[in-house]
Amino acid sequence: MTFTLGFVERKQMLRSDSWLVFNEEEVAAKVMDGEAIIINLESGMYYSMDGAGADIWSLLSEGITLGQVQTAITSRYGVSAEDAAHDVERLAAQLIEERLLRLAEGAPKPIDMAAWANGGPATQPYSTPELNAYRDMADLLALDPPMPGLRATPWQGPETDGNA
Amino acid sequence: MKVLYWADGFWPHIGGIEVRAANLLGDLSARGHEYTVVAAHLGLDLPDVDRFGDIPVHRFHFWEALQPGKLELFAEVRREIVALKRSFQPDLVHADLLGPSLLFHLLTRNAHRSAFLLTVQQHGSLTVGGGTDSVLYRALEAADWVTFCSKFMRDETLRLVPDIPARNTLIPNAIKVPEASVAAPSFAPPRLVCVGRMDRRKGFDIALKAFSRLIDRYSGIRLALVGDGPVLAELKSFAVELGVAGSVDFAGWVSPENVPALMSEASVVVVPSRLEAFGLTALEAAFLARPVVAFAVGGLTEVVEDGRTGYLVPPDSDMRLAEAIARMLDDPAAATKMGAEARSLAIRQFSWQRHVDSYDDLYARLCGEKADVTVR
Repeated sequence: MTFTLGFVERKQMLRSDSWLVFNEEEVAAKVMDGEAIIINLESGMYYSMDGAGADIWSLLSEGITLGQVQTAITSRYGVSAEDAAHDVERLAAQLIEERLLRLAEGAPKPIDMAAWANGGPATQPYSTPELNAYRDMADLLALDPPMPGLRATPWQGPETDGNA
Repeated sequence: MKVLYWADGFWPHIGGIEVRAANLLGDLSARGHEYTVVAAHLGLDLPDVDRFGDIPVHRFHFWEALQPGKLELFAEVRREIVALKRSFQPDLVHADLLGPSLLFHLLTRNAHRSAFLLTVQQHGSLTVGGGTDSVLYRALEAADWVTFCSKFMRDETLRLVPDIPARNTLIPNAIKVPEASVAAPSFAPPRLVCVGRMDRRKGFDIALKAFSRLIDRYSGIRLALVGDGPVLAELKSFAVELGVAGSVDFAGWVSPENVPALMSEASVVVVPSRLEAFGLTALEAAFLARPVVAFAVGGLTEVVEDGRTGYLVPPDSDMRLAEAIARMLDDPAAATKMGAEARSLAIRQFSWQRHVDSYDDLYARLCGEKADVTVR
């Protein structure tokens, strides 16, 4: 199975034995309470994914092949292999395009899939994984920065006399 | 009703929006709503957990946590927000901002499901764009209801996110009528007053330039710039450069309860903002029966009626600003009448009571106490 990335400059083909690596030079990421938070340190853009998307992120960033990720998602969510394959490939392409993961070369490192499978079936029903991008974060932060050096004010609040 | 009120700037941070928020929460608390405030530290050394009267205030290092590379702090702040939502269990989250800290609310909505009310009253955030892949779009999309402080803000927002028209209300900003006694303005000698945070957007540099055009024409004229902020030193230097420093009073930071007295000393209140989502300073001047000269920008065009309660002039023109101020000073009787008309109009159109009632009513509708708003 192949998937063509939408690059203008070069086209990369994803196959079921393709595997990706975390772009650690430009990206910081963490999965919190089942939600993946990903930050592109170069652009200041934030991303989030929950549910199956967070699982796919965890697996792909571990260097597992797309085929193995598809199998894991099928097993965990009871979704069809075809749907899982489509969603994993689409998301992988998107993550590469956003420079969060990179297409790796050579043989993938061995992964203990059993450890991940021990997590059991998902508690949430499957929904199409979506990469939520927040492209305005850097601009918003630049727009309204904190006010260093501004002294604390003695304002007690209007008509409060200490009581709101 | 339990309301998690979310605003980056909250007491003791100061500004028109913060004063309005403090009054609103105070009055709605008196009607039985139970608030907890989520606010940002914003550079001040304030406690993480505090109280504003009876209302708990939780301050977070949002800006610091949102700097790229601060993922551990981001995770910590997120955890704290989750814990706060789970312990307080609000019926409603009322976000009175459109800023980056909203990301923390969006990412923790599943921690405790509640209705989400978003109030849009800061124009700057709308200027950054970002399309559908933005905090702003996702917050507007996620909100069960959106309120706007002015028609201008509603139009601007709907231009960016046209598919939310069915879920919004215009609730014009308001202020409590200042208790200071209202006397007719004095014009002998003329005194111009500008009030606001000393940042570039407020346009006080243009006011100084306009003032420099008037200083030789009106004996004893003075200009008071009331407020503090990042460009204060720059403005002081600019006043020296223009040769008007001896006639300009920089009042610095003034507590909100003392602003009406200072504003009442004005013959004319000047609002030279390059942009305003609403124009609370102009409204406060109106309640004090002071005529206003302002630039015709943003929400100011809804607060000031040109030729009736003040003059609106094309933005960024110190010459037009000076001309309009001169028209006021040359005809004190007309200017005084404008001030009286401004107060009358403000009482009719920007009633504080109606403002509080509107939010009280909307809270009830959003939380199912009234039936005609469906929370998604």
